[in-house]
Amino acid sequence: MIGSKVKVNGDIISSEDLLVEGEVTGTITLSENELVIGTSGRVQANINAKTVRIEGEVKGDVDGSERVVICASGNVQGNVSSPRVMLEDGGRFKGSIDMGGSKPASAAKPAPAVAPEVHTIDKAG
Amino acid sequence: MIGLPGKKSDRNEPPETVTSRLLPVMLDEKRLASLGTLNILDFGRANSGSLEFFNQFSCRLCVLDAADSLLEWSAGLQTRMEEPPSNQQMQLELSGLLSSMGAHRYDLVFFWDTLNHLHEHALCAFAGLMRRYLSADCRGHGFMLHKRGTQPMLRHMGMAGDNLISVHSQTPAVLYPHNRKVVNDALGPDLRIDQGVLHGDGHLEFLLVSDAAKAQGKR
Repeated sequence: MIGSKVKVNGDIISSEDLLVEGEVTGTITLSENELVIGTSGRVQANINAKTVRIEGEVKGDVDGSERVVICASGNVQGNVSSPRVMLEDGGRFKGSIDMGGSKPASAAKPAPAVAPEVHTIDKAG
Repeated sequence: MIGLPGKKSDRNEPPETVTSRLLPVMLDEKRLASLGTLNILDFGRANSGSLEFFNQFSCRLCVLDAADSLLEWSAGLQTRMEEPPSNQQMQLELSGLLSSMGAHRYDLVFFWDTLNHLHEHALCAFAGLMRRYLSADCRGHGFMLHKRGTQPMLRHMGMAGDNLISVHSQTPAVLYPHNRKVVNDALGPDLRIDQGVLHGDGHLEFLLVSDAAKAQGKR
């Protein structure tokens, strides 16, 4: 864990799960593990992890080989790349997402009037 | 001024919905199929409904969440009107605000209420900037305040279906209404209002079509 009063300037490479509650500037790489940016976490870095859960602020590109979750308190500015991107209601996101669906527009099923609280984006469709 | 005090819709309440007759035209299946992987530009705020909708397409979605920054910039521009900045200067400033657009050309652009977030003096600069980012066959969709006396609201909207738009929140705000001719003149030759539908709430829903695509359609 990187505590709320800790500032890291540089590259972090970890082979175990990591919780960031402090400030990180640089890069974060956890190829096989989960990264959580806690509510007080402030990250200005490109992120690469198996799963990424964002409850705080991230400026940078986020690559989640399994999934990326932007929580209700999360704020992301950057490009997100992952087979599954989840955005909770209230979560903020500014940037690009690659999506892999293939249905034509006219065949698209209308979404219900009430949006689900959490939605999963699945590239596999 | 932005974000005047007012009622904000409760996040727990289901979002209001608006039925659109123009979105199905914009999202015409045959046309989209011919475009392959789509580049989609969304000026609105990211929400789960829009992501779910856009995920149906093979696309790269760029979310700008631009309303607050454009309204703040337009309010600042109002105070500079004694010596108004040049189009070039405004394009530079807008380019900084909208830098998330990257280096792509977009096939579909969801403007939502963006034109009413821009000071009239900035419309030409905005259109000039957008020209760099639009594909030749681009279509855009949005709304404009139309009826006098309509309460100007900062609305956050998203897709809810092929012909359905959800309004997630709306707050009274100072906006910048423009008539259709002013917008058409500002947009210039690359993008024009092709169709419009007046809604009961005083908003004009519009479909923008690039002139290049229109010319191809008439052949």
